[in-house]
Amino acid sequence: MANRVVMPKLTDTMEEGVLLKWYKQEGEKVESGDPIAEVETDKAVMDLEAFASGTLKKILVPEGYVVPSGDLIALIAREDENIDEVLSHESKPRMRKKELKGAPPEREKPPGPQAEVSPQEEAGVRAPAPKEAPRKEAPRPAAPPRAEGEEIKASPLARKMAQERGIDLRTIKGSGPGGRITQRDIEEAAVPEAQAAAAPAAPAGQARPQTAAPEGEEVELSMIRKAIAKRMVQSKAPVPHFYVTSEIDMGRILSFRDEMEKSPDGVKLTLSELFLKAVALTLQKFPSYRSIYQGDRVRIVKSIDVGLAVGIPDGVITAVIRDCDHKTLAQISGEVRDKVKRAREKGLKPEEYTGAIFSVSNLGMFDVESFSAIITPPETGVLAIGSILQKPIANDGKIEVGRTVKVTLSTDHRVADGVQAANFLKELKQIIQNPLYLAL
Amino acid sequence: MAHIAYRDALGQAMSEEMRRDDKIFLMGEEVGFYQGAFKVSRGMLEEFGPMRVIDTPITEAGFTGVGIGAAMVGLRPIIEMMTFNFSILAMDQIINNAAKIRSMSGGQFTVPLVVRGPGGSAARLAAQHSQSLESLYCHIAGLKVIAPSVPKDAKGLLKSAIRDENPVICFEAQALYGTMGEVPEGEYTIPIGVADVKREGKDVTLIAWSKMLLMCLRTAEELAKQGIDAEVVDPRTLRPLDMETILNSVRKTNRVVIVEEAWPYAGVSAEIADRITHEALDILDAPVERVTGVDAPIPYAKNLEQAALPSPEKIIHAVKKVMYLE
Repeated sequence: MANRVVMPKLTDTMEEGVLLKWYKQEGEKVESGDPIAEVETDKAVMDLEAFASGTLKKILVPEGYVVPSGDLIALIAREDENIDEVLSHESKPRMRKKELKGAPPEREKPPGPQAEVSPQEEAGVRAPAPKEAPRKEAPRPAAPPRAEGEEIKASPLARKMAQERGIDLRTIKGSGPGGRITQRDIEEAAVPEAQAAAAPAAPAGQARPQTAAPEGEEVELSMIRKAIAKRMVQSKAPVPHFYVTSEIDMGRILSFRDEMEKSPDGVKLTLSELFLKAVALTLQKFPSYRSIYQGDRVRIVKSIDVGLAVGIPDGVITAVIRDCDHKTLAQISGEVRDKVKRAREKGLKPEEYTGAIFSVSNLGMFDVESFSAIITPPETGVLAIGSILQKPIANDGKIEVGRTVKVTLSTDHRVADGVQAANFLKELKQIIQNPLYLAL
Repeated sequence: MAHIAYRDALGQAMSEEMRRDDKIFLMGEEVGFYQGAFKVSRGMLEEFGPMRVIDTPITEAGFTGVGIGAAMVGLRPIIEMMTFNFSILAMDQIINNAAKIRSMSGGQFTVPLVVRGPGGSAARLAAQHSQSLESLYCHIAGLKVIAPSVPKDAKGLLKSAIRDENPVICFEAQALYGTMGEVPEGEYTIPIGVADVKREGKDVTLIAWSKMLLMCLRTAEELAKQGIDAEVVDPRTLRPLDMETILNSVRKTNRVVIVEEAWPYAGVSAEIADRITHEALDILDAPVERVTGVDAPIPYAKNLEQAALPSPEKIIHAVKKVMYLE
């Protein structure tokens, strides 16, 4: 019997994947468990394994195409099996080429026989019925304004999730029966009305106004860029951020770092690593900064899992160090190096980039004095670290040249207030300026 | 582990218990000389003799009443209904006496009685011989109701039923008697009131018992091919109901489909759906769906009989509905 191979849903946030490469070609034998293709998700590049043994009879999606999770991409069957019957009952994959999307019609390839070739035909699939664009791809229409007190149809789960995430149900258009808002709608609710309304799709066949877009090239966002765009809007809109900045004298911790490096079992530590530990120790004393906001209550998390923002070529991802407060500097350093390296290769597993309770973002190496970072929901705070600057410092009535860093704490005002933020920074400063705490 | 048929697992449970306790006896139509209409009591007359494996005339109300009286004075009867369709004749005894005597006598009498036999549809037995009557018995306060789906559960649950101090109704789907399964060696029991997760999954919870459980397991494999990972929960005991196991599963999946062979109106699936809605409203993403037999007497014609019963297609449709896929 023919076995279906579908684009997997490898993470909770994954809605579609890019088929980067087929390791096996049509007609090749595959064993259950063999990697047969490489797919790019919104966070990582992963291998797709065969769930059945047999012959890869049909590839329906060529390399370089984007397909929604769950759509059929290939069939594995016995070598002599006729799969025409099976294929005739299957929906064609809702795929599109990765590079360009939504380019204005006048800049598309001139119409001609070639332009008529659908991806299905390119892929060698018979009977290529033009498939309508997948539902999720269409820009979400803005929810119609609802009158105050008007009944909102939402599943109980969707209501609970909306409350936890601080999302106003009135701003969401439900995709369920009768317009019921479902779990998926909440997960997809990142794009607020204004943004969705600003980018309506020109109905097919309708002439695009000349003045619509300035000259230029449209390039599709990478999967991770899209995920970031969605998550950050999810954060800024409902989470009322405020920012508190403090300047820390770095003299002693820099000497401490040099001594650590020179010691016989020396480790070379980066500032990020030192700050991760210092933040973890600070978090022990500030339960509200390891809380998850849930509407009328907060969940105070026991395990201090701190995230480190890692810049990668097309975006940023958070590498999570679990139980950071209980790890030694050497352990943290080893883990950070491994995870940063793999993050840059898009090799982090979902459990390695999700679930932090607080994050650290360091732009010190890029010569910035200070900056404010956006909180990743459902975390309550993020610490932004600037560059070490040489400064005149008054010490015992004398002016000397010292080195300082400006750190900015972003806080979710629903959970914590200015005084707590100030005390958090004071505690952090105390640890950084007395680095022996870090060796405990 | 031994690979044996459902009917033999039940036979083993009865024989082992009768060897253990000589107060236990089996009574019903054709249980002795003919060795059971469905061959569940094979070999028992030979081993235990006509005082403990008793052939009765066609008198359901009579021999059920005798069983209740015997239980009240200290014996432990197992009453076999040739099919549960005939138990309707004994319902006055079961409902008014077996279920109530302990309560009405202030605990002076107990009724350690098991009423067991086949139920549900088989293949073209027409309306009067194809009924799933679980909900009638589940409705009665004072009764326990079990409905095992695999040989292992059948043996372990029937043993618990025989040892119970209260009346227990044991539904055995007629179509399951020939199904095979692993049964552990040696003595074991399965407690009444404990459900079992027969297949782990994360997208949707399928709840079913008896014959429908097997249909759900097959359908779950079909769903897996479509990228839907279904969890299959077997309550095993319909009263009392193990809500904890059911709710744990719903917490994982947020979506529920209950499959029941019987009619929809006031069915067991309605009870389970109500309990889930009441106890887990906040974690549901869709109304609980029920797949049941159609609300009509089961027809004789093969194609109409099939159309009247739950099917994998109907289950898949309901699953897609709770997942908002169609």
